[in-house]
Amino acid sequence: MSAFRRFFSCKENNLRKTLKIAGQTCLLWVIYYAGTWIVNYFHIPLPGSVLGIIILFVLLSMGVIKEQWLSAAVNPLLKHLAFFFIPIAVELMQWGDLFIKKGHLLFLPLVVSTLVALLATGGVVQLLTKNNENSEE
Amino acid sequence: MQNTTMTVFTIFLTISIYFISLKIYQKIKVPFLTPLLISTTAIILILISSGVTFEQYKPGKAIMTFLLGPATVGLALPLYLNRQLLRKMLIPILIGIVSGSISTLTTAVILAKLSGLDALLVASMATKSITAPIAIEISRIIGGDPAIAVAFVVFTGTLGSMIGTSFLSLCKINSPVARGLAMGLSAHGQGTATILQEGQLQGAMAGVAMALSAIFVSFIAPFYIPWLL
Repeated sequence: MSAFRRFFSCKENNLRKTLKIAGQTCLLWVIYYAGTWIVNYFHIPLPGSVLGIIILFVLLSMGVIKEQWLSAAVNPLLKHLAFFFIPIAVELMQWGDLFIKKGHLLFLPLVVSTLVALLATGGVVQLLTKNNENSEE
Repeated sequence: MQNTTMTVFTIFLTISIYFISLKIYQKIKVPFLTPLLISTTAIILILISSGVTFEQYKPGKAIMTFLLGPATVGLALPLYLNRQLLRKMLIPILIGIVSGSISTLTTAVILAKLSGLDALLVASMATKSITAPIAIEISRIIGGDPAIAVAFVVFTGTLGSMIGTSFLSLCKINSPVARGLAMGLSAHGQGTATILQEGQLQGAMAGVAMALSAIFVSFIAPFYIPWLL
């Protein structure tokens, strides 16, 4: 009997959790949709999702939206973010020839620019924060 | 009816392969065999060997990526949680992100052009250091191909997470803030996961760099990249 009850209360919690995640996802979707709509309407050359990030950050900072209203949905969505790129990357099956013919030419720009990114960001920030630390002392 | 069955099949296939590859990744812990790489390769091989074309896979793709937009908007939350850190070091962070983003984007595009790659590949390469959901969107705006852009993003992320920390040490970049920002900017999500092993501060900084560089490049790309091309 108690196992039965436990099963049901567990079910109820799961249901509540699912509804919570669904509701929070709807909120994220509304913000995403607003971002996309504004970008399209005003012909702004910016991804709608980026404007969505900015809108959400501003709303969180203003206290209009509370962190707890979103975390149940955001955490699993970001954890499995890679899933969404699988269907997009499958399209590469149409580009097979291109990669076989040009693949070797891709290495140099990809590798060099990655090293440049590491060095430029890391070097500049280390230089700037070192100066800050020195002036504070 | 035939089409509906195919769509259900491709969605079921994609989801099950994703969870299997996630299990494999957690078991073998080889940094470059990410769930995305394993899944994509497996699905392409299965589709080709069973004679399914990409056109037949496409309807399922639209359904499966439906939540990508809302998930991307969710990137604002980790940024918001790190706002104190962001405010404290705003100027070095912003200068670091601007110089890192512009230099990596410029080198990638110019070297790609010098290698004689066609415009589609060059444009798709421009977003290689940006987190995938936003790289896809930017590549659409600047005339690249979203699928190729994802391939470059994943390659860069994998490369960065494999050699990034040793390269930074080799260059005597030891400041935790600098290391975190550099890894997040160059290798986005994969770099963030790697540098998180060095500490919470590094991980938080990488997350900040990943989000801010994506926003920054979104703003400059539509003007700067056509100019470079």
